[in-house]
Amino acid sequence: MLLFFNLMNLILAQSTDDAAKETVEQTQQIITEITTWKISQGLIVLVISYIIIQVIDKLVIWVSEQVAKEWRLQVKQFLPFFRMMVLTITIVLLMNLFLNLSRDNLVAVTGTVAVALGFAFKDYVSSIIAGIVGLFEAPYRVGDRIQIGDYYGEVRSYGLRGIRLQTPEDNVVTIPHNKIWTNAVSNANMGELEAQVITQFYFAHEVDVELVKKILYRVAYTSKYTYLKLPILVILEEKPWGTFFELKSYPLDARDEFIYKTDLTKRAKRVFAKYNLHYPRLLNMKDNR
Amino acid sequence: MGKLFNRFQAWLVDNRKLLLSRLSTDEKETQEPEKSLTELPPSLASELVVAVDKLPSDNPDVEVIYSTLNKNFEKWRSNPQTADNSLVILSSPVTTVSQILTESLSYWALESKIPLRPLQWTGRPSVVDDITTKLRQQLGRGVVTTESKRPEIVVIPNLSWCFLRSVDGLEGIDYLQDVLLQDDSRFWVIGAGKVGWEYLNHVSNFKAYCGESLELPRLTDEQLQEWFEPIIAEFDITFNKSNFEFPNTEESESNQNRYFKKLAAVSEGVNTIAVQIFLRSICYEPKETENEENDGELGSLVAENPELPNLPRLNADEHYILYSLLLHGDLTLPALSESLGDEKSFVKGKIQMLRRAGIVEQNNGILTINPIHYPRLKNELSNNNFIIYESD
Repeated sequence: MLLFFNLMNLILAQSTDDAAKETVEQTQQIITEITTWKISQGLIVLVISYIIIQVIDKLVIWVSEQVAKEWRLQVKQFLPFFRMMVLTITIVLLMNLFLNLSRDNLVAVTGTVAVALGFAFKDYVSSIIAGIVGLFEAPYRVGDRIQIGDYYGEVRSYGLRGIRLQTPEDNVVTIPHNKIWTNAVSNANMGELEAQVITQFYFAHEVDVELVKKILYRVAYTSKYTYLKLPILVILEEKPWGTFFELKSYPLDARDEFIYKTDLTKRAKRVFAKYNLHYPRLLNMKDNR
Repeated sequence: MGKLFNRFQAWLVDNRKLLLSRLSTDEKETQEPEKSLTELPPSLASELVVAVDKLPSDNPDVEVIYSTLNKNFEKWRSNPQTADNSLVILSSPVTTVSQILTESLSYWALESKIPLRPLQWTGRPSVVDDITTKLRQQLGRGVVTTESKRPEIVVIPNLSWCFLRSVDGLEGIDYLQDVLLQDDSRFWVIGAGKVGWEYLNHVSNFKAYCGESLELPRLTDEQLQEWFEPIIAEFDITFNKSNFEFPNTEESESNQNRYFKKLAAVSEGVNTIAVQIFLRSICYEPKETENEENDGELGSLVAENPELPNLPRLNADEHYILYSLLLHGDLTLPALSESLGDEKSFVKGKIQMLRRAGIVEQNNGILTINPIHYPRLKNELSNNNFIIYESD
């Protein structure tokens, strides 16, 4: 009996030893011999990739600002694709350098990496995948003016993990791509140069509606920023406190959105003053809120 | 593949100048319009400029204007109730359409024995609110009974003077829209710049109120050659350089013909642009003298390749200013600042820079675009979303 147990222990120990050996062998198969030279090569690849990405970023942005406005956004669309290309090449080079990628090994590596990343970098990987999906689905592109959650602004860069948004206050907000899975993305220009600008005006009920409409149309038609090929529209709505007007028009360049709105408001107010048009009184607003 | 590469290489060689000219937009290069003239002895340069100013203003445009005018006028006269009672003559914003109209129509009206009522303006009223008042004063007929209405021709030499791109500045156009179709005993002849015309069509659909519009035809190479002939003869300008790069010209063609073919193409057949390019292309070749006795003798004038200068890099503010100038044809500084909605001091600074770059000219306080820059400027503005002109 004792002999049997000893035999069993020996067999078990041997099989554990074999399994350990097998794992070591598999790891050795997957990971090629790591030498100082290979590490140096890996570092060189990383540095070169970083430099290339920086150069591409600067170059694409520079070119996009030099070409005619109508091509600006089209040029900027190349940015995420170039970045993705450089990153993919870098990853392939590094894997080729450190991993022995036979078909079996590839399956093993993919499985292991998937499990590891699934636990440790779930959100990060989700953002990367969303970024790749976003390249083709294009809920936003570089140069678009978008709103995600509370943030509105121009997409300045499209990174691996997220985008950088420049807000009207000149803050840069980084938003991960995985927001597109759950959040609504409101895009004002969808790759076009023009984005509609809505300028609001408020008047008392007794205001001459026709006169206000005529002034607002004129103000839009005579602004240096207005893109005249797209329609201009004035709509009005009665509110308890007064009459609410919206002037909908497009600037020549979506970037001029706020300066355009200011120009429309400034010039309109000058004409309103000339005609002595009445604004709603604060008292009415409080009473009818 | 090799064949394709060879063809691409040949194309590159053929177009290298054009490609390089597009790439280089150095500010230094924009000073070039005056380059050839400064190379000329100053006295000769000023003589040449004076001679160009004296060039006869009667040009082939007049014939086209007469024939179109006759056709439309007769149509209206035979049926004033239903036929269109106006003709619009469109020119580039750097052409003085008012001068062409005034000169050609006075002669035509004399021949046709029809009273002419031209708008006797030489520019836009300085106060915008006065545009409508002055239009009413000059063109208004008051209440006239149908029987007493005598047919007459009303001439607006330059429609751009009747508006300014500002809220109040379009009231002159409102007035014209009211009176154009009101009175069928009047035939209207309206001169307009193409950019301003396009703007008015987008803003107030002005085209709908007018009849046929005639674009002034482009001057051909033969017409330009004939026009410049007095200067070529007077200054003995030679065309012995064979570097006039222009496609579709035969080897056997004389250098002079090839020069004018290219001049007609690059100037888009507009005389004001052609004049500037012509002046820019003239170089002075000093006589090779062996002794000092011949020092007093003049060298010869040689025409180089006629080319457009490059535009400097322009920013958004400059685009807005230049578009406003093209839109109105000519503007004073206060009117320009009003049309832009910007402070006068800001606009003044920008204008100084544009004048230094040679893009804007100022004569007696009136700002205009230097005609030589018009072709490239038009393309640049069009590429930046500005409305330039869409041919029918």
